[in-house]
Amino acid sequence: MISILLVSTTGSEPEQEAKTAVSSGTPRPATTTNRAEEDAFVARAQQGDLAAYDELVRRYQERIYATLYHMTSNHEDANDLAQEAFIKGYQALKSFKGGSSFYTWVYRIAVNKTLNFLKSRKNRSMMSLNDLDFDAEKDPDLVALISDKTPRRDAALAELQKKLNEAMLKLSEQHRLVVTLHDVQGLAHEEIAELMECNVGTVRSRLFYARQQLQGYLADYLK
Amino acid sequence: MSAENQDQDFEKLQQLLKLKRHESPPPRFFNDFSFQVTARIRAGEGVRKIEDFEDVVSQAPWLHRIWKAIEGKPAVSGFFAAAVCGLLIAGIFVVDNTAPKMPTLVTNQPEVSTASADDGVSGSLLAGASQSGNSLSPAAVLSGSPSLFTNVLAMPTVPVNFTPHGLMATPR
Repeated sequence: MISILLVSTTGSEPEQEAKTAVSSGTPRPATTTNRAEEDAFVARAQQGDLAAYDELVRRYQERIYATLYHMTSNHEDANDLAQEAFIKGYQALKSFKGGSSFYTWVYRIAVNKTLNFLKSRKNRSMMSLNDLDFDAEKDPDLVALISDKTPRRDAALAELQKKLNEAMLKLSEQHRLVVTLHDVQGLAHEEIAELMECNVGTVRSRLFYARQQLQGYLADYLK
Repeated sequence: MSAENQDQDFEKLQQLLKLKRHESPPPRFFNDFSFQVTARIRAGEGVRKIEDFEDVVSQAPWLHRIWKAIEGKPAVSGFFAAAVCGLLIAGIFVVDNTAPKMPTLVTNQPEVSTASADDGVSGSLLAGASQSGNSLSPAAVLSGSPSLFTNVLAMPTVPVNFTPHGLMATPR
């Protein structure tokens, strides 16, 4: 069974811009101040300060949620998994030694949790897609992919969204993760290699293979 | 093939994948998210506990590395499982061959003879056990030795009077 939420066209433009940034989950550059602040919050949270941990959750919830959503194509699953990852992060916070950033550490927890979840679910995937924001209809790259003569551009985009997510779900978890991180969220190969604990060459080869597969699945939409 | 060429080959696909950047969760979804997380932690889920193997693996980096190395590679995981089984069997075999014999309760014959000098019954029982070579087996201990009740039956018996003091027993 597939349930799909269709396009919403509400919201002001600044709000929509914020939403776009949220859904792509593009990481902000980590400055020294940010890192120092983060370390202070982590230290307080390790002493049991829940307010400090709440601040850490607020900082990274969007990026973590976005990755999990693109991995599962299911809003409810992504929500549950992201919450569980943060809870598990709190439980294991005493073992966090600061070798990497807190984000990298909690991100790995979230991805491992999601990979295990997807393995346990195997092929019984059910999509529950988020709405496309208002900017999707104005994106020139997307407009070029759908016919200008289509009377209802939003419906065409929704159809494209469904096909794209179906194709993504056909990829293996590792390939889907690389495509999500690079092509959807815009991370560099080196950052992905650090997050996935593998070398850059592996990231490149996985990305190439995943794109080849996707191109095959979506051939009708890429002419 | 360079990374730049690869990107050119998949230009249209990358354009299409941009669609996913426009997928947004419901409005105000993130307003409550951190509250829900901290509420669940307060409700008791924050208590550290190891629930399953996944938790154990995530707590130990070395175990995590081993798990990652064998995960998804049937040949490697099969070899690893065979090696673990082999080690287990070898361990059992070595322990079986090198374990000392179970000591018996009575190993010294002169001590038995001392005991038999003090008490005829216990002395004979212990002696019987030492002869059979296994003092832990009751059957072995009792076989061929006199019963404890033999001496009890031979003891003199005195009738007991249950009548309370000051009352005469009425003859029937």
